[in-house]
Amino acid sequence: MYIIQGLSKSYKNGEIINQVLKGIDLNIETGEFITILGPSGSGKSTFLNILGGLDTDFQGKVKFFDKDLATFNEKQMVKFRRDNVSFIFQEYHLLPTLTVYENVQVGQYLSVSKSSIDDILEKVGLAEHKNKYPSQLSGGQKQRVAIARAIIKNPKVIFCDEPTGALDSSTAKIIMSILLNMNKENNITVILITHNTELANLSNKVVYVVDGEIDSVKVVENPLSLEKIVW
Amino acid sequence: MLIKHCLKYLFKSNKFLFFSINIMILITSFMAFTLLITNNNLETVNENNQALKQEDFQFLPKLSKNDINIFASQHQISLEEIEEKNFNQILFDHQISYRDIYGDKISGLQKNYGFISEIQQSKFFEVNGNNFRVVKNNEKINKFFFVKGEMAVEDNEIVIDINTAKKKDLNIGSSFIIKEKEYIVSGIASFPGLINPNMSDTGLKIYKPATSVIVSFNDKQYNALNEKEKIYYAGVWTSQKPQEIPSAEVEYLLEKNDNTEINILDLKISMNKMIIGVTVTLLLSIVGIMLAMVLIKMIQDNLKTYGVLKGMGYKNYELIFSFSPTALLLILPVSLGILLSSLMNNTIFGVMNNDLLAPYPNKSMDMFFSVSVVSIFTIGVLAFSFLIIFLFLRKNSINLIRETSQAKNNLIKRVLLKLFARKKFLSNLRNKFIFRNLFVFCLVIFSGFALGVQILMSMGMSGFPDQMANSFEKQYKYEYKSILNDKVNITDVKDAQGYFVRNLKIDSKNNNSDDISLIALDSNEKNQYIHFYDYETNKNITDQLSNGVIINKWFANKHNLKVGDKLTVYDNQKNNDVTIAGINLDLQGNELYTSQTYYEDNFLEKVNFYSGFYSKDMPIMDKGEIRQTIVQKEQYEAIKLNFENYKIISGAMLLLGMILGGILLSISIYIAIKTGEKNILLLKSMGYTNSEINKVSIIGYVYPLLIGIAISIPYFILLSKLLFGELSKSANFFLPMQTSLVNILTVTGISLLFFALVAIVYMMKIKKSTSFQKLLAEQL
Repeated sequence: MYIIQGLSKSYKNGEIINQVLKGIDLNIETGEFITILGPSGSGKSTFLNILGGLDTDFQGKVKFFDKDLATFNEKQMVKFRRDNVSFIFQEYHLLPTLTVYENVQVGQYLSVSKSSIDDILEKVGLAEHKNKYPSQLSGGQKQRVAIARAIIKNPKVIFCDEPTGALDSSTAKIIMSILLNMNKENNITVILITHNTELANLSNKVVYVVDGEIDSVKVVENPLSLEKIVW
Repeated sequence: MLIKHCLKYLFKSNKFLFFSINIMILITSFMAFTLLITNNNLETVNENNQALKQEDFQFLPKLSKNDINIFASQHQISLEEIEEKNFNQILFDHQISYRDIYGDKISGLQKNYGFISEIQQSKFFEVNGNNFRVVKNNEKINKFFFVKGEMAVEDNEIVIDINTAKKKDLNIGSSFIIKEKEYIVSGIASFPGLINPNMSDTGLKIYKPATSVIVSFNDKQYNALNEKEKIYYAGVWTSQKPQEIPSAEVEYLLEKNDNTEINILDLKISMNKMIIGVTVTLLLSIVGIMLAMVLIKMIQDNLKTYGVLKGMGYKNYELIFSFSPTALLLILPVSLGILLSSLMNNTIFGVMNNDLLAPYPNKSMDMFFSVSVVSIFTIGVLAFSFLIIFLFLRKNSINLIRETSQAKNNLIKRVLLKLFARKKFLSNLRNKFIFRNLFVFCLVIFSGFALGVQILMSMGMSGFPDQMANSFEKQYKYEYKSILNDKVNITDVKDAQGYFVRNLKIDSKNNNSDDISLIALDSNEKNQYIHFYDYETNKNITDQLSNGVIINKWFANKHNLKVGDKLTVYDNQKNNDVTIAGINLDLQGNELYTSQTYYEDNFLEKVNFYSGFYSKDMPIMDKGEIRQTIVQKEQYEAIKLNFENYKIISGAMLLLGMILGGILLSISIYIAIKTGEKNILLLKSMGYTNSEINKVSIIGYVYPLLIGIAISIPYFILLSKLLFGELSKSANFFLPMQTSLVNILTVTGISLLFFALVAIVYMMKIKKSTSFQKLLAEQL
């Protein structure tokens, strides 16, 4: 799915150049559940933004099904994000003026297949909250809305930036179980950023990023089940 | 620390908003103070003129046939010569002074009616496009006011007016050439008898000040001038209670109050007051509301911070006072506006009043008043902001952090959404974004409303000088209006339409009586030079003269009269009821027109002689029979010139109003976009295209904008009917703030153009925006 070669990224802050990513090479296959681990400021989020087409200012090659993201113009990049990618953020980023149902509808509009919003909300356990506004929901419920909004698009890949970072362990478990099911049932590739090393045990592949470089890539032959994870 | 946060919010996060508010306040303060200073200056000019004008009245004694016969025999002049020549020319040819002819008559009048008088003489001519008036020195009344130097004594000496001295940079001893003869300036003076040097001898044609020169020579040089001369007598009452001099004694008598020069200024002041009243009130209310809304928005933006700080233990008053710098910083544009207005006032006043005599008074705004305005503004902004923050801070800190207000889907929102429900998802999404943020929705409506009112008002105002001149040109089709001295037969005058004037009174609402002139027009079908048109329908209503009186719009508005009403007119002799038969296009004047037949039937008296007549040709009659002939063209030009300057004001106001309206619109769209910026970035990250995002974020605001404009139209119509109608009652003219379809279309067009410009700027911004880090870092 993704072939990443020599991916570099730097920010210029006055005279100081800050090299955030330093020549990353990585292959990602369809249906994988990848966890990216690393300390704060190691470049994980930047890496995720580039793969998801949010950040287009980089060096190196990022091929998505043999198409190089670096060569995409704005229109092609919008189409790439529209057809293939969904994001789940730590801060949820729901639209505050829309209800739960309407927030998911915003995602549904972009998909061709138009899955049922009610079915998705049922799946994430929010059917009875569909007319509520984000400000009336708990953190976990908000994140489930964000997941519903992400999966209704039928994306090929979902990028999750610390999706459980702001949640308690029981809520985090629910979120992770939804993500795992989605990965297994729909064969959607999930790329997850986390600080929680335990969560890495759930994935097929663990990528350790340190100081803008991949320190190691660990392929997990037999990922643990959710019940066996210690939070 | 809190103050630092407040300043950072203004200068870092909301530079555009802060800058726009400052410009908005600066323009408002500038406009308001310029109008106030202009009015002060006009009043100063009027006070100066009143003070300079030393005469109480102007008059010319009436000579009977017998007087003329005695005069002719005394000076051995044949009666044929008197018949043929201009009377002034006879005096000049025979070297006879006016005192010789009027002397005895004047002495008798002075004694009988209690006044002193002095003859006022001036000669006028044109050289190279400049209108020269040479004024003879006065000894008793209207003495020259010397700014520098003294009266011309030698033959080559000249006194010039201040205006010319300033324009041509002349001083005592400077050389000044008239008709190739060189004069030395001996004095620079104001000429009280000619406070408006730009008026012709008919008192109607107004010359441009740039080409008007007033000078004075010694008596020898004055007498040697073989030019057209104007004379009149200036009188000053010596008795406490001035008596009425009967018309049999004087050719004419012009009281100080009836002096056109002063009255024109009065009209200007009256117009200025009205414009100030309307513009400043409207401007301040619009900008005030907008400022209040922006302040609320600024406070709302900081609610999360207040919630966090409150949770940390900060006290309410500490949070409230942290907003002070914002309010205090707004003092700057108000003060700058006042300063700019004071600095530019002389130039602006010159442009607006180029028919007045320079140098113009340059009264800066009173320091105490200015400081008071700034203080009241500051206290107002502080008090309002503190109150709003106080009201918000009544919530607990958690609620402040959670922004619970957006959760409420109240009845208004539900109704709006249901009302504007659309099948297309994007249209529905747009409505949800717009309607569920009612504050921003109202803000955009208000900016559309403000822009609409501003433009409608400016356009309404810009139309009235033309309307005033056009109504005159359209209705008064004569070439000459001649005022007759006495019972004169006008059958000899070709194609004349006679009129009879009767001065009467009516009772006004405030229990005072108002003077009116009832003018009965000779209604012979052949020669009708006055055609009245209905104010509302523009239909010819001249034939209604036979059914009653036709009044003008100002008079109708002032006395709340409508067609069909009865009006009681009276004098010392009797009362009469007249029917209002029509309201014509005129916007000023207390003249009521009717037909001779209606007058004769209603007043039961035959019109045996006319007060004057209208004609196509210049009348050739005995000079003793016509008191004055007024040229319609000059009258029309005078009206046009008088109001021409107001086009400049209204043009400037339109421009500033549009800038202000544009700023208001930009502010509201900025707030709308800024509020929805997070939504925009999120949609963009999800793969929504720029055009889809534009549809749901910016383009949608065209609807509240149009709603605002739509509200502004009936509001303005109502405002012009009620406010301008009321204001016109106390002024001496009617300000027609009409809203035509053209005005409405122009307002809509300009507003949409503004919106398109603002929208394009933001669309470009959205297109370029890839700042997803903002979204990820939750900095919004």
